[in-house]
Amino acid sequence: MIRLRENKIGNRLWAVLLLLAMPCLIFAQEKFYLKAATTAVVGQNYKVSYILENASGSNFTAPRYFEGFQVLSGPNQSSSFQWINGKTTQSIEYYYILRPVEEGEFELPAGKIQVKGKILETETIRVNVKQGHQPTQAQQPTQTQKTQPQSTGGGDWRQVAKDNLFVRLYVDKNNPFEGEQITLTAKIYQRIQSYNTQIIEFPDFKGFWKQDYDASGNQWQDEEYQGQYYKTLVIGKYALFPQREGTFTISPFKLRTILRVQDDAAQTGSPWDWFFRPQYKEVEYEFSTSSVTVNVKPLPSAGRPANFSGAVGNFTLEASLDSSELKVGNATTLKTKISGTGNIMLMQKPRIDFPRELEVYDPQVQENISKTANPISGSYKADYLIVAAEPGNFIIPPVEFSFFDLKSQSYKTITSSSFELHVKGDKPVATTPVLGKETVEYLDTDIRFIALKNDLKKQTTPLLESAMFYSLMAGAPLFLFLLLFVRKKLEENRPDLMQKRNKMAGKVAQKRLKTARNFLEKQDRKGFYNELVKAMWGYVADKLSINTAHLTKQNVTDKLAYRNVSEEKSQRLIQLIEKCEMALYSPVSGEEMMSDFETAGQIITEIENEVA
Amino acid sequence: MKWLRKILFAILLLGTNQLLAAADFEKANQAYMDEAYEEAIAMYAELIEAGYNSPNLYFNLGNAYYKTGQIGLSILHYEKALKLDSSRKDVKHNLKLAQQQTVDNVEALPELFFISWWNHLLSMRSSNKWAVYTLVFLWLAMVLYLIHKWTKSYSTLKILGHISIVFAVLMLILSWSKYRQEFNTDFAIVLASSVKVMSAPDTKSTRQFTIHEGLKVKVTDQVKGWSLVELEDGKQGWIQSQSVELI
Repeated sequence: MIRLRENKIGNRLWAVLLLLAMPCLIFAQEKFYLKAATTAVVGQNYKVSYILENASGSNFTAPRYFEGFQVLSGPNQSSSFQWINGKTTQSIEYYYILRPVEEGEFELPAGKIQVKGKILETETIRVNVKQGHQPTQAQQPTQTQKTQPQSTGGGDWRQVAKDNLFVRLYVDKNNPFEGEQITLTAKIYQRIQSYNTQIIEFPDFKGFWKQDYDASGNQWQDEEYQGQYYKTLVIGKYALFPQREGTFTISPFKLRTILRVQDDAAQTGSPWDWFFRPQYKEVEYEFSTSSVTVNVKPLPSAGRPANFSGAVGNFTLEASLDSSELKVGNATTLKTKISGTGNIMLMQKPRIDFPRELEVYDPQVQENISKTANPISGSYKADYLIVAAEPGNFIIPPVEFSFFDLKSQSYKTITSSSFELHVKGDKPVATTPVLGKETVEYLDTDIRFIALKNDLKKQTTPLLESAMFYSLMAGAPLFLFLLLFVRKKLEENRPDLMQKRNKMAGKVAQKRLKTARNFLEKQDRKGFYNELVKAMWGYVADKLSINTAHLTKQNVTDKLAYRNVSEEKSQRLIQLIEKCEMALYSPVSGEEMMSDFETAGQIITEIENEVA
Repeated sequence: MKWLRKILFAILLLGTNQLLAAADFEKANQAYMDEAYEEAIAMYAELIEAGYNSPNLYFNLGNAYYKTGQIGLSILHYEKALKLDSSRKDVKHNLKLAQQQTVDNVEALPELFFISWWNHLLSMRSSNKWAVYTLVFLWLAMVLYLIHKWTKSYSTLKILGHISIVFAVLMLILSWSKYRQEFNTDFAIVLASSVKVMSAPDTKSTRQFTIHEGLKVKVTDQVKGWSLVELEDGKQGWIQSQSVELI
């Protein structure tokens, strides 16, 4: 409470006089009385004082109850010292601040006090309480400032503070759409001095998405409110976006401040008081806003597009492709930008179905929200990096974005144009490594279903344990040898083959002799005799159908005899063969080789002639 | 003609037995589909008791155990199914899922690349198949040699015959290795929920580590009620034989 101190100088003067007069102070007669106004107005504070003068009392019996009044504070105690015209008065005051609650006549009860062993009692006072004609004084604080209200004690500073310092919480719209911005403001109104004001409790914004406006640079302003001028300061401003339909209550702000109020004890206005105790004290004062109720309407369901983004406000869409011609392996960027006013940070971002052949990376996103514009505005930028992996012509479908337009109260869909992308070049042989791919996680959570096909089998002996396997293994080479053996046997006894050999024997021998002659010319003894022996042996073998295995000299002689070849001839043949075999290993003269050659020829011819 | 009648009767009996078994198998499958897993387990187990075995039978039984939360038993039967047919993808898949529910995570020692190739090759066919291939290559070689000898020409046939012999030997080795794998009982699955692995076949010996249900171990030795097991990471110890079952 502010008390104007016009009589400051006077007070000082009194103080000086008091000091001078101190030694000659005389105390007056003791006295205990009730002091109160006989009329009061409903709702206006009313002071009741029990005053003890010139005595020190004890055991003041305070009335607990005043009929027709509400006790705002008390009993409070204050003492004062007065010196008027050489007469000093010391007084102790016990006072109450009451508030009349109804009209009528009421009696203020008597107070009792014990002074030097005897009980003093005040008389009672009848008070006439009337209905006030005008708004209560507290609502017109100007008066409080100008004229000192009669019965206003220091105790009712709360009421004064309440009227002169308050904070309002209000929204610009009480009935918004879901997603539509409302602006919530908390503003201090004050006409008295306060210090160190702090917000001790912020509201609960349940059901809203909140975006703070920057309140740090706000200035005090003059504002008229309900006919009064106040200093005002916006302490909080929020853009709130209702998240769903329904009725939501924003709980109050709570603040705490420190006020300088007049000290109750200095009530008497005596210079003594001023001298001995401070006239003002600092008190802590808590005050709060009311709560605010917002009724959120749902967005209309009629005409809602399937791809509705949840955005409410007014938006524009821009989309552009950096280049429409590309080489395989190169990259381009699709830039999209949505800007406008509304709940841009809450909307669902548009999705683009790129052709599968293009490698598209997660977009680079930039959100830009203005913190000062009301309503909130901003932009959402998404840049998609597109890498052309394959050649071809691709069409990137248009970017679509739909929102609820507040102005026309209807849904709107904005669409960019579609983009053509021409990729030239050859398909790369090796795929370029794609960064940031993760290995496929094993996501199956349930086992595969049972196999229904019946594949039951009795346990059988494995092939490797069976005799059949081993017999088949062993059988293979046996089979081979058997067949080869049988064939050999058959071959030996085939007459047609023998006849052929028989017929050919002479020719074969002639061929061999020819080869031998070549060796003779070269004087190659070994080659010559080798060929000669072969010619003769071969001839008899073929001619007589003798198997090489049975080709012995005895056998040959026998067979030749059997074929009616003379003993002498066969003897000559054998001798020549023996000689030739010998000559293979011993030196022989050129003439001898010549004669052996001729003899061999003769004998073969003779035998050929004799054996038909 | 008495013996002929006997054989016919035997074939008939075998046939009806097969039919009955097929019906039982279907019944068990139906029980599984009706989510009567305990019933299905009993029926599958009966078939196995009766001497039947097949990858599907073990696989289905494993699934039924899985559904009833008996992870150890389900892993055991999946492993049995894989032993019969190691190429079954569904079995491998379910086995992997079952293994994810086990406690122990034993890191297998890394296999040399050629060993894993060899194992992969082995897993492609059963021992019997490999044995059949052996015979085919062997006889092919014989025929090639024979033609070569008879015609006394076409030396390429001889070379082809040699190649066939080499193949036959390879197939024989594969068949033998696969046979060893199929019929070895070296591996076992832990069925008890938690098993203490001791340093000696004696309850009083010191405990080395603990293994849990579903773990596959290699049994390297057995001494009256105790098995010496080896984990895939090379750790060894003794456990009581009843806590594991051989695959």
